[in-house]
Amino acid sequence: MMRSGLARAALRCYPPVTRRARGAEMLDTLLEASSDRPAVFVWNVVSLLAAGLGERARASARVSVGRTIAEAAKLASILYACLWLTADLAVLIERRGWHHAVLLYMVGLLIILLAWSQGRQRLAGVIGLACTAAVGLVVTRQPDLLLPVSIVQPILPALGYLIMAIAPTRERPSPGAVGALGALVVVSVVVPGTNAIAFGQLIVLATASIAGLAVFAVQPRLAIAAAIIWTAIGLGMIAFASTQPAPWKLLVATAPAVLAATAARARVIRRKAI
Amino acid sequence: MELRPPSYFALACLIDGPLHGYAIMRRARELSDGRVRLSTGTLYALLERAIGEELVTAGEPYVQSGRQRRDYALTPAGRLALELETERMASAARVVSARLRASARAASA
Repeated sequence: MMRSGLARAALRCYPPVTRRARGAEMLDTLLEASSDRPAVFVWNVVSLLAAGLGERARASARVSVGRTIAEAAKLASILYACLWLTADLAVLIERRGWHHAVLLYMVGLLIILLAWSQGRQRLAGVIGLACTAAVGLVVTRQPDLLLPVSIVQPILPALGYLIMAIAPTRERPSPGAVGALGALVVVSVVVPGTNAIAFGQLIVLATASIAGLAVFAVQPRLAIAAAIIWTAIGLGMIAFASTQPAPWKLLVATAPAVLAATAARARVIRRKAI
Repeated sequence: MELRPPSYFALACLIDGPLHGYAIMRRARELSDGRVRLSTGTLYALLERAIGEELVTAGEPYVQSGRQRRDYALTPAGRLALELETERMASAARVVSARLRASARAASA
């Protein structure tokens, strides 16, 4: 039973389409090939892990670098919406009965995330662009209303919304990814001690970055999306550079380099895998 | 197209007729005198590639002795690839054998 569970876990390295087509057959072959032989079982499970990850890498390599970056930009805009939802929820909890404009913005963010989770990218993109325009208006007219953010910061994520609006795909994110993102936002907001504006955002972004690095070898999309967000934050910090501490200035300098490196790495992975 | 030993022996297993995954693993080991031991991951990766290159076809899934199975069969293109690879290896072996014999004769003379 435990062996079957371990083999099933190893099978999860394969893309869902392969698991659906051959998962049961592969599982039975593995169990039959290694019955009563623990060393052979471990060897087969390791081979399954390697082959599954290899297949995922080949699947992402079949997508062109331009398409990978476009999809990463879309994902970045979704991550950005999560960051602001986290920040706004944290502020809302701290200051009950907050401004209507912020509540409206939160509703906009929720619609973006809902539409994205349902594969309605065009709707998410249009609402995202509208939200970005609204933030731009508010920041220029009432700079003290929102959190300290420069008008420069939302520009990169807005590119992701624009790509969603003009080149949407019917691709639905996996329920696991949606659930993980939702849980991350909730945890960042409700866990005691994280209820501070920047800390909640940092938890979301740091977790996404670590996850992106973990799966980078087989799917660079999330890592590029995280790098885009770091770059956007870095660009935003340029507006406040004179008043920001040194780590933020370092971020301004390194984030675009990280973005360039991840994009270059994605190209290398593609070349190797084909 | 050069076939690596695991692919070569996996295709060679199918010469006499279709086999399911576990049967291919066992047969490849027998055919190669134990030199080629296919793991599950390797087997399905090479079968996937062979199907993509139309060297092998996959049958419909079925259940036998409580195990989910599917038979794989060699296509004419797969048989041709196997023949070409066999000929390539035989030709390489002939060249090297001739050189070894010539070298041995020169050494004994």
